[in-house]
Amino acid sequence: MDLQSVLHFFDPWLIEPYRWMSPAIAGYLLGTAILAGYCVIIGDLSATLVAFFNRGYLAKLRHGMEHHHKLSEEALKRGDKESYKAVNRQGLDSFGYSFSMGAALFCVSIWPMPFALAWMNLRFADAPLPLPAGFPFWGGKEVHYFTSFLLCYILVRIIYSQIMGRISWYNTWKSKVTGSYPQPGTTDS
Amino acid sequence: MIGVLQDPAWAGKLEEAIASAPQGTEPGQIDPSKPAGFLGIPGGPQVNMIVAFLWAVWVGWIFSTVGAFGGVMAGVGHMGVFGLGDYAKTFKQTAPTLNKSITDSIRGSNQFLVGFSALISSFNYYKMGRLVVPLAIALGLGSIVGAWGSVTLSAGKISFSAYQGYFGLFVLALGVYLFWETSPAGQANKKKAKAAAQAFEATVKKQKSGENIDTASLGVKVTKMSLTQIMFTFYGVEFKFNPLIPFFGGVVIAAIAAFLGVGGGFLLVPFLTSVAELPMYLAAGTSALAVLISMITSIITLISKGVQFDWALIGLELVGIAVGSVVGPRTSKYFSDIWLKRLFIVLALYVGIDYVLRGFFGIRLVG
Repeated sequence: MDLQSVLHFFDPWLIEPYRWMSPAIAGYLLGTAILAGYCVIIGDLSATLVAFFNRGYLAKLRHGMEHHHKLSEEALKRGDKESYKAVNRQGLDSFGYSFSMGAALFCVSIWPMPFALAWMNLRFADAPLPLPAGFPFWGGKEVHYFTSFLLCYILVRIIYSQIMGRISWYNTWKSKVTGSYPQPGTTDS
Repeated sequence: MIGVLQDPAWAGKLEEAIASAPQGTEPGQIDPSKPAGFLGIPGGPQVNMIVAFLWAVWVGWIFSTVGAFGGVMAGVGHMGVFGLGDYAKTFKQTAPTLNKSITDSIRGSNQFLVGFSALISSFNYYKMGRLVVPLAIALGLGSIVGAWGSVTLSAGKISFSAYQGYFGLFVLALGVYLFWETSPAGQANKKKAKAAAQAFEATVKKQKSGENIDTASLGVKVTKMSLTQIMFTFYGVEFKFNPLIPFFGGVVIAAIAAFLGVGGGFLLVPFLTSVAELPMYLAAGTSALAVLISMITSIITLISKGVQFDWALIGLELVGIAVGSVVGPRTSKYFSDIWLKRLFIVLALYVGIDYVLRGFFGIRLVG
């Protein structure tokens, strides 16, 4: 079974929300927002799972970051700028590892996105979204499926993060599972 | 197979590039009877799914254990391991437009993986009063100008060989820097900072006052703003910077990142801490915004130029990175940091020299 067959299998479910609203532009935006929602939720669960597997290692990285962080705050509180700079330089190494691991986690959180774009390519490569006015970055009065999906995805991810950040059971569960490591897609990230 | 997803519709420019290539069965020609491969090009390379996945696992392993270099390895995979680079090169003389279209897709794919992933920085610093808004604006504006300018000037214009050469130069510079870092001079710098940090830590331990200070009220407070100087206090200590420095730094770093398809995030934090002399924890939070802006700008600009992506390949790579990032921390205890660093210095020097020779001079070190 190749990817195209998989995309065709899911096609009826994915295309359905695009028909829930009219005019067509409103339907397109709603369908794309729902598709982005699927990506955000699946990505968040995947990143949580990976963070769970790595919780010990993440805790070690977090400890390194926090240690330097607290030390630098202490230096600032004392007005000792030279020590502060030295601690910061030391902290760069810890930051590098943390940054890189965070990059991996972020990759995990966006893995569904290219598959969603592959499906959109099948459906909308020839049907760009018409705009009321032109924009400097994409010249004409049309938006390619990638651009519209990306903007929808970012918006949905921010909204998701805001909503989930207010749900206490979700935050508690996430903290337990991941050892409180700030993750992409949550208010901690 | 990868590539079939581009059917039925190619962006007009890729379609034109394919149409402009001579038909036939020789290298540098397109055989319409062959099955669609990379980007839906008839006879294009059929990227081996297993190889692509395993390479991505390796990239994920690097991301999660080495603390650098993941993006470079993602680029090496796209250019060398999957056979996309060699395929692009066959069209250098016969169909330069197609050569450049494939090149743009490769660097866009790198950008997608690396730029997106580099977005990670500790956003919780935003909430802790660690975002210097004027700095974020200066850096963000610079990043937009750099990424947009770089992609606009180079999309559809850079041949694969030139791209490979410049990518090699970048990796070589990275390798030289890492090499310097492990040299006595580089270590001396670090040792000095380490000694100062440890001395301060010892002092703090001796003088533990135990008083709790409300740190929430000690965040960033901008005290002066002009075109050439911004002053702010952080924990009551005064910092100042010239906003033109992060602006031009943002232009240069975003331009390099967008041109090569490598992440700019890992360059931004050292830049802000070293050149602009800003606190690391402010630089970390603020740079995330600039990386996000430059990544989105460069990818959207590439797309607007008609560049195509093989989404299936990118998706598969992200899944591989996920697996690699789980495997990485479980195996890292078997490798010492210093040996890992040395291994990557050797790799960086080898890849850098090889790519510079191949790209600019057509000389292969191996093969």
